[in-house]
Amino acid sequence: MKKALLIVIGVLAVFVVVIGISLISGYNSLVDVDEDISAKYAQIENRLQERHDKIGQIIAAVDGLQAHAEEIYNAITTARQAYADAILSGDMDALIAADAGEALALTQVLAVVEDNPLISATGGYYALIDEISSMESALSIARRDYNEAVQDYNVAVRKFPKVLYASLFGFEKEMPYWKINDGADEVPVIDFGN
Amino acid sequence: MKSIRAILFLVAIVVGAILFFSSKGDYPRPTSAFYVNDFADVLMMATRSTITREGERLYDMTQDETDGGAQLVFATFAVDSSEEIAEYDKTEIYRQWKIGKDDMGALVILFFIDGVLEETQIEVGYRMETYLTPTFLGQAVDSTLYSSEWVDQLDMAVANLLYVLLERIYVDAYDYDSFNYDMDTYYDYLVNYDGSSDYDVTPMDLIVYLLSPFSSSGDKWLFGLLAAFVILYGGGSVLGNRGAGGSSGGMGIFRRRH
Repeated sequence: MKKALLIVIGVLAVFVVVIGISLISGYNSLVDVDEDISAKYAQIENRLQERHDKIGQIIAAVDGLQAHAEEIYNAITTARQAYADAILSGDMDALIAADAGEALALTQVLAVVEDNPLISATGGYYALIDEISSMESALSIARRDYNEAVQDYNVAVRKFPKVLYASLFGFEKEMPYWKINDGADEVPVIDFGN
Repeated sequence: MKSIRAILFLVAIVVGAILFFSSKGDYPRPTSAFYVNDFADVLMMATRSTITREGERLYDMTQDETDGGAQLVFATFAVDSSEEIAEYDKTEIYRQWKIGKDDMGALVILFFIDGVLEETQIEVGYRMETYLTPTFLGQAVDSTLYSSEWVDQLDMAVANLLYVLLERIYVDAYDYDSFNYDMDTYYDYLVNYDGSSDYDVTPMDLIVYLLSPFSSSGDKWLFGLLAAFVILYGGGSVLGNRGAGGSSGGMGIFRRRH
């Protein structure tokens, strides 16, 4: 009788230990994927800030572009204001819209440059193209990394048993993607002609 | 004796299978030289040796510096069309090869169509972005690879780009007073190169020994296993130079032939 009781207690103890380990590892892995998303989101913000800071420098640095400032001034100003507002509000949808707005403003800058051979003939033109294409490439990688992290998270919290842990520990059931090709907030693809 | 052979055979099968299935990604692994990966087979041996030697030197010289362990890697790929180039993701290749300690690295990729340089892409590690800016890289590529000075002299152009990048890294990133190079001297080195390399030498003595009746079955099996390991696992990750664990975020340039 005593032996049977010991066996039952032993089995229960093993069961509790297994459940405990499973809870801890499940919680930790959810924290990992959640933190990964935060890091990737911060990287997008860094890249957006870099682009935001560089736009003005680029416009000033390219010979001949200033003459067309009026034409592109509104687009750039509107995009920069939208970005500043989005940062202040901390609203992700607003930031995505600002991202798209600044990309659109850059396409307009490129269009002005390409329509004016005197501008494109200068050395500054190639520097402009290099800076913009590099920024856009880095932003596209940052968006992709973020969306992959979100996908990992969203898949993890829907799978058993992590779906239970997510509810138990109060994790978000679904994280939003950075909408790259989603209609109104679509980020324009910039063609560098290369 | 038969049982030992059987065990060795089984070990070879298991190791080979593990290595085969553990290999991932669509891009080739870096060569054992690591700093030069001439998959298009367009560079002269002298240039390959120079890139490798300078890459090793840069890594060793900067190891103990703040943000040290910089790695500068060159790769060439032969493609059939410019559309095929779009299938290559320079960021993905950089990340798979783990270039540069603490993200202090740069990857130069040259795409060739029918032996002619079609496009140049450069990917820069996160921390190296401060020094190798897109504007600088664009000017560096234009003044070397696409310079009228080096028309039909690919090796001179590539070496010139190597030295321009090294100068920037040593002086700007690591505060060296200067980095001196002379392309005339390099030209003399190139034309007088004797064809041998520190990095591509085949250990003939070992092969002759293994094929001879003097080597034991154990030696042959051991060498076979090692060779399979190197071939399947890419060698670069196990022997010779290797990536220092760096990553990148898409910064760099794309430059097609003008």
